[in-house]
Amino acid sequence: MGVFSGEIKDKVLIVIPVFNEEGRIGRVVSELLERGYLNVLVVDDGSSDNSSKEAIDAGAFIVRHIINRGAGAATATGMEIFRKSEKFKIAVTMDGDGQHYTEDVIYLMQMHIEQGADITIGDRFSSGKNVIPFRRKVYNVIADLVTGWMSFRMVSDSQSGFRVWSRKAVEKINIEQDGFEFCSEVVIKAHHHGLKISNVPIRVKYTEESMQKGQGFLVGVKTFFNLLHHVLFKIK
Amino acid sequence: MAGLEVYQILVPLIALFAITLTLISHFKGQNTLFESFFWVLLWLGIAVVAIIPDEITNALSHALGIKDNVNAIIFIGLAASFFIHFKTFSVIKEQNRVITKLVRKISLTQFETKEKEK
Repeated sequence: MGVFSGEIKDKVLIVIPVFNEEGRIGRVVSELLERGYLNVLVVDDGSSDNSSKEAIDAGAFIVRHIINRGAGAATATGMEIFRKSEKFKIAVTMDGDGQHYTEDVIYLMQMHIEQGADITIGDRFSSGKNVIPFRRKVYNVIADLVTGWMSFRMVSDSQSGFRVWSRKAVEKINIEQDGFEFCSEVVIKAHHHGLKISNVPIRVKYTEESMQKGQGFLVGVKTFFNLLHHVLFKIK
Repeated sequence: MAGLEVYQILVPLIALFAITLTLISHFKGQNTLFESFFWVLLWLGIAVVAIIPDEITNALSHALGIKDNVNAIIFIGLAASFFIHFKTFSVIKEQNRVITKLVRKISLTQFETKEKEK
């Protein structure tokens, strides 16, 4: 597991979009720093709690939206910082609620490099071992079908927030959707640009708090219409 | 003009009010020329249909090939409503995009300033 030296880890930017994750984000940042990742960027998307302070105290870089704009907008801000520094070769996005295991970052990056992927998606469903609430499973099946339909391909776990991006993928994909629909947007655009997407099984842990966030039915409907509008009128 | 129904007076008055508001907005620079033109034309059309309903709706149903003039009006109304909804959706999307761009610019400027100070 420890094939990446500190020098290589210095070329990785971990982007964590965060909205009101006080009590969780500090732990995620600390774990990542302990594992040798030097560049942990928390994008605080207008939190009203102490998420920013907690992340700073834990040792993360912080960029703060003055108002809440959504997970997509926050991720796009992180990617903008990635683009501005030539030093970064790999971007990793993960959730700030602690549902992803920080030790899986290295595994995901290894698989990303081995498979020569442009985007590697941490797939919550393929292993069949994760305990995922039924509601979320149903939502993801629908989201995968819609994303697959719009990108003319079969896709798996298109809504996962745990992803590894090559520099090429970050340069090519401009995230325009502010909300959770950016997850599908990235997959659609990656296929559109001919980028290689790879799925790698990951572990997740859901808590009551993380279940209260994320994507519900209404978000799903909004996502569908936003994506339809995007596919019909934006993608050239 | 004997035997006018109530709606034939009420609807043109509402249309007149709406056209006045549109023109005020236009001269305040709040509407583009196209937007003002569109709304004035729409309200004029509604007023004319209210004043001479049979002639207009029969002409429309004939032009569209729809037998019943009421169906023709419903069809046109639905199409217009869809167009307006779509237009509104697009405008809101664009506004959101601009707000996000502004928020991002502010946050990146603050971030760069802080990094330089370190």
